[in-house]
Amino acid sequence: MAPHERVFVDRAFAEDENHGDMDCAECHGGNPEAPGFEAAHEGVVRDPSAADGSGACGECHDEIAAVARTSLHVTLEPYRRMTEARAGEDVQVHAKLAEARRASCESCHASCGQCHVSRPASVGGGLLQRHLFQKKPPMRQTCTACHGSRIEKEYFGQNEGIKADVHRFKRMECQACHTGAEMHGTGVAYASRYEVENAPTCLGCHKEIFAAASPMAETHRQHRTAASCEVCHAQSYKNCASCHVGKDPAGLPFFKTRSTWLDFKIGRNPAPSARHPEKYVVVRHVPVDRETFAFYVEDALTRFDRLPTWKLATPHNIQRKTPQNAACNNCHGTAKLFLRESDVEPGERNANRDVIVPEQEIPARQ
Amino acid sequence: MTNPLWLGVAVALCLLFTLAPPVPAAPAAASECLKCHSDVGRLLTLTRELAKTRPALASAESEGEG
Repeated sequence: MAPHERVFVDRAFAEDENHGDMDCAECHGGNPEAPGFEAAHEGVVRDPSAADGSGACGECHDEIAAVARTSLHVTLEPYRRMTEARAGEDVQVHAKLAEARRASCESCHASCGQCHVSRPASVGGGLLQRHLFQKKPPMRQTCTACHGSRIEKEYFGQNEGIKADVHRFKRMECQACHTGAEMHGTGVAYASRYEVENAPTCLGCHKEIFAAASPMAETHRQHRTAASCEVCHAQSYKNCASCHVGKDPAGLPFFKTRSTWLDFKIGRNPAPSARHPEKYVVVRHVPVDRETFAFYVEDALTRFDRLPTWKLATPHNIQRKTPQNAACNNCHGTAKLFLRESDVEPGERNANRDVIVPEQEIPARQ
Repeated sequence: MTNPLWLGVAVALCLLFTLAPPVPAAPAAASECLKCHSDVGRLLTLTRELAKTRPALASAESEGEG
């Protein structure tokens, strides 16, 4: 998007019956009557909803703004919880970690405006449809603009040799499963996206899979609490390792990930829940390591082993037929599909002790 | 002779219009902002000028997939 396109406003905006009656300065501040660029833009707020939307948007959309404060897109709460859980008790260290999160991790923050008016700032911003408000955020410019390296590539089949998600072939967009209510939050401060009550589930749509008339009913019933849907229906997905964050000489934050790779691993579910009661789930390596925040503070993650680095994953490249579900023994007894100790770096084995599948627990051949 | 009822209505209307808060702001259509923000030529010139003076917003040192 060219710089001038990012800030071009359609005059038709004035005809928006809900927002066109407001003066620009009412939301954005500044001094439109002042002569010259600098004076007119003094005090201008690029995204009036950046904090939590209760001001600019909440005046009318008060019910949404009230719960949006707890939306994971706004709070990025898991970043805080995960880093703090891995750190020790030292408050100075926690302060440094908070500084690192503000500079790097929290640039992924989204807001009302960064879905409904502009592209998210973390991907360069720029007005969507020339400032005409978008009730349904456009998927490619908002959702997958941020969720690009994993979700976008999986869903659209951009990883070499991996098919696009079957739902993509049905022309489903993100909102077909992830509703506005889920995105806006519920008022509960969740620790993880897998706790979100109104997040989609496969069974929410595919209710018929246990019915007698379903051709795979018996298989589905047998595996209901044994394996998550993705264990049988996902393809290889992106894993990342060793993201290090810092600031360059100009003070601009940067990140460097050591490696990314495609793989498919089934692990033990370390924390079965009502939403994910299965014994086995698909696991993805997340990019944290002991030195992720070393630029800001040395040896910050002294309790690194408290959380696994291979975590529950829900790849967005679902297929009805996959190599592992083509025959029972493509999975049963096929050790390479399971996350074994040898798959995990020695320094991370203790952290992943509840996820690693012991050889004797790999389901036997049928 | 003036009907006191009409007189009362007239006074009430006068008060209403006098005490009513002013319209808070001009609508977007009348905004000075749109003179530039809906003019492609002016925006092109302005953004090119600004690009010469403003520092980069993102570090070139980032590597790998985020």
